[in-house]
Amino acid sequence: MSRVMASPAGLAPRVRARSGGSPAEQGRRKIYWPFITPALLFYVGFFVLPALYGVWVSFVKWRGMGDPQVFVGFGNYRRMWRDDSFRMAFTNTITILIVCGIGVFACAFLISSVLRELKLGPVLRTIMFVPHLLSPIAVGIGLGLLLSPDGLLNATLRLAGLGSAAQLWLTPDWIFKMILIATIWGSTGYYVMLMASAIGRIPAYYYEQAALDGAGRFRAFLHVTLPLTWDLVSVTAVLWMISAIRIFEFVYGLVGTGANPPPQARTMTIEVFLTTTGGAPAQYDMGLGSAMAVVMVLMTLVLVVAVRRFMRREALEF
Amino acid sequence: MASPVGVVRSAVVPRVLWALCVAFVVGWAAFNVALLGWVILGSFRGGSAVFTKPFALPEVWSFSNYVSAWVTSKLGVGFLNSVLLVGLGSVSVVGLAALAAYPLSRTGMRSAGPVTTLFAMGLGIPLQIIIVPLFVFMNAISNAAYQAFGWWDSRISLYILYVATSLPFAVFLLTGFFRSLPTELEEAAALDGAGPFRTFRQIMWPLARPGITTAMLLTGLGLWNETLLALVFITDDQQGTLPRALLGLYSTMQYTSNWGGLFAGIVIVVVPTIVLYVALGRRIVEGMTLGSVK
Repeated sequence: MSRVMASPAGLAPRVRARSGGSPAEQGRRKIYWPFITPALLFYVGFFVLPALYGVWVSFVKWRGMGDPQVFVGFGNYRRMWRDDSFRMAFTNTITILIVCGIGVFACAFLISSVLRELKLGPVLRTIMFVPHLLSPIAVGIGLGLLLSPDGLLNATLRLAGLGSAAQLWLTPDWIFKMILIATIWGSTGYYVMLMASAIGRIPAYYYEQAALDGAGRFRAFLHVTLPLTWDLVSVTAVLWMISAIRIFEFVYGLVGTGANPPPQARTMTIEVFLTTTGGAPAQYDMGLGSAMAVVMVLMTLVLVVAVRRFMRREALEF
Repeated sequence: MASPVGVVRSAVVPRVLWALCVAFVVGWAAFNVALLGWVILGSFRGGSAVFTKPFALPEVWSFSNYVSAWVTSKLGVGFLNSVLLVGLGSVSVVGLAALAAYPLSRTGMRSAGPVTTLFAMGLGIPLQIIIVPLFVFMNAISNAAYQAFGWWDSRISLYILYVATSLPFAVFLLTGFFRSLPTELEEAAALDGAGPFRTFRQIMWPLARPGITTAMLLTGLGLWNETLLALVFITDDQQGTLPRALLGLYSTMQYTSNWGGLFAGIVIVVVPTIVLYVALGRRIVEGMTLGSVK
């Protein structure tokens, strides 16, 4: 499931008077540590500290419990860059990030602009949202079956007399293209929902005025929709970055688990999984896997900061 | 479409383009329905009929695929494990998160801001970075437990991880929610002599119930769909969750080619979510779009 991201400005709680304060405030201060400690312990103990330990593991050669850790400095990182299948996984993740990103946002804008004017809009929007909610493994497997040699896609092509266009869609030649299309299909519904709620809050008279001024739908989009939803677009771009780097189950289900997926069908997440505890046989190359994971975290960080910088505009009040 | 001002433009091209756009959108939604319909129909078909007659209705509506998926392929066990883990997990997550979110969002303590940010950072961290250390750590815990009591259940490990990894989102959602609640009732309760714990339990908790329900729903949905942690941390099929069982079924299917059972498996995984969406769709959508729109 994709998660909703905060704008940093929304995080800082309103600062109230330092000391004293109302009786309620004094009471709240008394329960402050007792109330937040349980959650904090869980989170720090099983999330933050492991993440930091993961950074350490990326600098050692290690096969897990019982095996002595040997410090190798940046050895794992160097090994990672020389590894062809990692380079391919890295390229694939970047390609998904960019190509699917463009596809998802283009489709989401187009679809939500169209839905705005259709009577059946809300129903269609609800239907499009469903893939985002369902188990990505189940959706991935369902799509894998659709694309299988005698699956729905080829059956439809044959029925339409286009049998010659039928393909083995899940072979290494085709699979990554299928992953790109499937990812756009699976992700767009969520962004349509986000856009639709933002577009829904634009007062209708902006569009009426645009129409009076002789603007067609395209111009209305360019001069009304886009500027008034820009804020949301920049936040959702961050959301997209995070979820695109994380994508795992959907692709893993789509590709199938008969054996290790071919390098063409691997994302960085799948590569980490196969390098450490997944794969047949599992390699338990903990240092290398952690180095890959660290690269993923750094990528997320850099991209989030860059996107926020790049897309920041004055918020339009309306 | 963007013709210069003053030039009479032809209305035909935009109209055709618009019709294409509408067709694209309707086609997209139709595809979603068709895919789901195909999977549901397939789940009732026998043997290889899934692929030989893709468009026909099943000749006999038989539940044998469901029985085989549920019993033979252990989806039933997975279903129960998932219900257990998702239930316990989301109640714990929301309980812990609500406790933390209340003082974090409503006190002026100096550490409240940084702690809230620390939780929010978890939203952007890919699970892969914590899997290796946790794998080792959980092995250590289970070994210690085996030596001490001769017993450990990896579902406990999974439960702990589910709580830890779901906390950032729940805390984030609930701090936003608590912040939006009015302060007057709290002040009144404090003036009337209610202690902070009582104020929380009797005033704030009921006020926050819509937000807490939403947090519970979204956490539950996320955990129901979670697969990676279950794949890594569960080795015994009897303790596996539903998505893990589905993947297991998928990999054996490649050899047994009882495809109908796989279709039934997908339906079993997906139907509870669809039912929930039909019943509580608005709340789910609001929760999922809330944080980013505001």
